[in-house]
Amino acid sequence: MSQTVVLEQNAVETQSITLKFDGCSSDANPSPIVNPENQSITIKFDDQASNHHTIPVSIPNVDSETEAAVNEFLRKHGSSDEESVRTDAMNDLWSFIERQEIGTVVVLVKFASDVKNFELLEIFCQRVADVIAKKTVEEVREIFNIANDFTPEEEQAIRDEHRWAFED
Amino acid sequence: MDQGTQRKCSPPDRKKEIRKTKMGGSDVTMQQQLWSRETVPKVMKIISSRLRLPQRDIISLLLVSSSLNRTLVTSPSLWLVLDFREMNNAGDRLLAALSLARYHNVKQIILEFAQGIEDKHLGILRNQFSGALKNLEHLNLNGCQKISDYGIEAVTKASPSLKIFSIYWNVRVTDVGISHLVNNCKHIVDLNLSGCKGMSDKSLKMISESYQHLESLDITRCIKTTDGGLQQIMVKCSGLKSLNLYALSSFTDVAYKKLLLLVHLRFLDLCGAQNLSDEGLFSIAKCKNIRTLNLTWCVRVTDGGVIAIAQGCTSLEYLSLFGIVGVTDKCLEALSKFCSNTITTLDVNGCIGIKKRSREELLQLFPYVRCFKVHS
Repeated sequence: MSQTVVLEQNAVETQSITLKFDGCSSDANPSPIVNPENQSITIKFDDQASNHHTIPVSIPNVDSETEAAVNEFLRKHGSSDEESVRTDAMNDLWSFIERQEIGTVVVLVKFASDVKNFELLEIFCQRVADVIAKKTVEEVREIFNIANDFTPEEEQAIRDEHRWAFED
Repeated sequence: MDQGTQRKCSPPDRKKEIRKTKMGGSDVTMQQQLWSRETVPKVMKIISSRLRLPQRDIISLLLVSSSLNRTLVTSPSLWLVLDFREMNNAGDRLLAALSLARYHNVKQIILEFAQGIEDKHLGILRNQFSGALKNLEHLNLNGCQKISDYGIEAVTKASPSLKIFSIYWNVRVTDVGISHLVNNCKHIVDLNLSGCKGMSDKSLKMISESYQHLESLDITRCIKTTDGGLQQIMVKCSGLKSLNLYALSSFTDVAYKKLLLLVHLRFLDLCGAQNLSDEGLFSIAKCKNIRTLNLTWCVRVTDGGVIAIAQGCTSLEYLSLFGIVGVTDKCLEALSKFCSNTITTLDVNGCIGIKKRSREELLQLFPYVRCFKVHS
């Protein structure tokens, strides 16, 4: 398994770049690939020692139990090519997520999107979609703790505009 | 909904779920505002672009708050599908929805078994909203029995990009309606005319001349069609992957023998093809990519034909020989020899010529079979 580091240059000039890795060490020589379009440098390490090793991620704004459950999924899911192992990992994570406050799941969707982990994203998005399913507008507000900032007239206008979407 | 995750999910008790999922904290702080105005809308946008949310839920979200509304209204992927399946007053609903500019790139309209959709609505659509359907690719009019050739002319005129057209169980539409389709829509790849008894060989001729890139055709129960029309399809639509000839008993080997021209065929339904003989099957055996083959009630078929299929269609996954009394254990042995790795559905109910056809005996020959009955 290779590890990839992408460095992107922003507006600030940098004189030096320091790379830090947790976990596995590597004897392999990195060869940087520069992308002139977005000024990023990609360095790929091929490290056979890290084949079944996933670096634990830290997830902002969630409790340690949740972070642990997500990391357990990443470890298990990444550890095997066997479909049954991966499905078990997904089922475990799904069961865990179903027991969490929806606010946590919302944070997790954002996290998964930011790190571009599509397996996580699928699970978290589906959970939120299941919670929203067939709820009334008021129920959605209550569940997600969203303030209604429409005036009654505004809200009525939108309802009228979309009456076609609701069963009689 | 993506069924890739094999999870068990029991339907939540509504009130319990609201209590359980309700977030802690109720004072309106800066954090709450950030949450309400930025975090949740961003996340809903991500979700709605990854999953296809039910239409009703999307509209509910529009009403939740102005920030959510703003975020979703500007999310183009949400406004590509209009789904009115089984709804009443569907014609009026469709026109009301299309009066909203955000639906003017709509790609798919579903009116399956909707009530209250008539020619007049499609006429208004063409006269007032034709710009809105310029990107429409998929139109489902299944069960819309009031639509006639006039309605077909109107909607196809407004939908030049149409690729998938489905009008199951409509007995009013005739060859004239199909002539409007082929004149107005040049890019059809998937056509479902199942149950449209008004279609004749004239339609098949027009389809074959206009849609050389057709991939899927369903003419179930189009009983006016004959060998003549079917042959045109086979000769000209050589890209066909799926052909459904369910309950069409008047075709003969004259047409069936041309099936070998459809080299990309993966799905072939010949249920009720009472004139199909082993000669026809020898040709079908040349379609190497067939995965699904329905020979229910093909009563003239014998071992010879099925053995040829076994040798030729080595990727076969689904086979029904339901009701065929002329096949014996010999054909099962051949199928097992060539296709036992791939066959997962095998229906040999009523095949009294096959002695060993209990579940256990079949599993001996076909270890991966999960489904033993497709025809009821």
